[in-house]
Amino acid sequence: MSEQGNDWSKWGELWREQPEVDVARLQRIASRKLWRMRILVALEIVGSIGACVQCVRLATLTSGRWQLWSIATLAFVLALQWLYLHVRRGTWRASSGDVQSLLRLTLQRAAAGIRLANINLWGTLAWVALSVLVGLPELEPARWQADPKLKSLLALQLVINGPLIVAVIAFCIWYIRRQRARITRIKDLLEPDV
Amino acid sequence: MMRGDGQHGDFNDVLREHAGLLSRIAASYEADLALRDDLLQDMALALWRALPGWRGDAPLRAFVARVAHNRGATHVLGQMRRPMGSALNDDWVEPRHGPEGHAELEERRMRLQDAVRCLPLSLRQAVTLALEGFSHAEIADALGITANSVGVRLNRAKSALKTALGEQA
Repeated sequence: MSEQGNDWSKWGELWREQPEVDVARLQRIASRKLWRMRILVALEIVGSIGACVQCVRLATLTSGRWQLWSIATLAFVLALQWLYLHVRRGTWRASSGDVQSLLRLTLQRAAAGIRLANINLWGTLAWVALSVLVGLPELEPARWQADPKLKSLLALQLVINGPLIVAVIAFCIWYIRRQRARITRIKDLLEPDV
Repeated sequence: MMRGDGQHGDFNDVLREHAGLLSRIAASYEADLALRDDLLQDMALALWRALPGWRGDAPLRAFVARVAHNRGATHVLGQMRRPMGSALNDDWVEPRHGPEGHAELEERRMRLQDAVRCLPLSLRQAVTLALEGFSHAEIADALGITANSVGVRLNRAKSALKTALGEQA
């Protein structure tokens, strides 16, 4: 026992011999990071509110199929925002519980994240299908060729929403893969010692 | 989150007092100096946010170590593409060296740090706390495992460290 204790105390002394840490710099950077996180979340919320307001506005101004589309888009924007908040949740909360509890919580979050990302992935595809279906009459070449205003509107939708949809799908696939790998890793870490 | 000057002052005091502990725990998770610096900053930020939740039911030092290890574990999970640890490198030295007389001590310290980093995460966490002078009960509390498991982990870690450091097992 004492030999064992000697090893740990010898290594402990060596371990605690560390170069000085620039605490003032650490404080400054931590404060800066905190503000950056706050600003980022504020911008995200403003963006989401803007998108929701547009959807509600469109829903009140239109009727029939376009009203249905506005409501579906509103639901889609809210679901997407939910995923982003879920992804960011771990970075907001600083855990002071024990490590095992944190790992178990991370495991639950990863599983919930996969479910949410799947919902978003299929939701995006359904939204694209619905948008095409709803906009079918406007997509007729004869119609938009005769209407320059409609033509530019469709082109604008394609340029803005096209890359956005591809990005959302790519993000969901990447996120699901990452969470699956994370789950495997956490399960390894939660293996009992004996 | 800090809500007032008083708390801000508390945080600065806590950070000043425990910066060394945070830095050593960060070093046990990350070999790359730039990433380690980032991790240390994240640990400081995590401490800032967690500190208002400290009710004094555990020693502050144990609370700080727990927050730091949780952030470290998250860091490891976030760095899954990178290897957990690499074999000890005889040529590897940190760019910080003390005067000539301290060079050997510095090298031994770096080898120990490198050896700890090569341990599996579950052993590494127990080892860093043991090296900081925490008791088995405190380590068990911080990691959420039994004191027996702490003993098992430390025994395994000791053999691994002795082998890695070239000491007789």
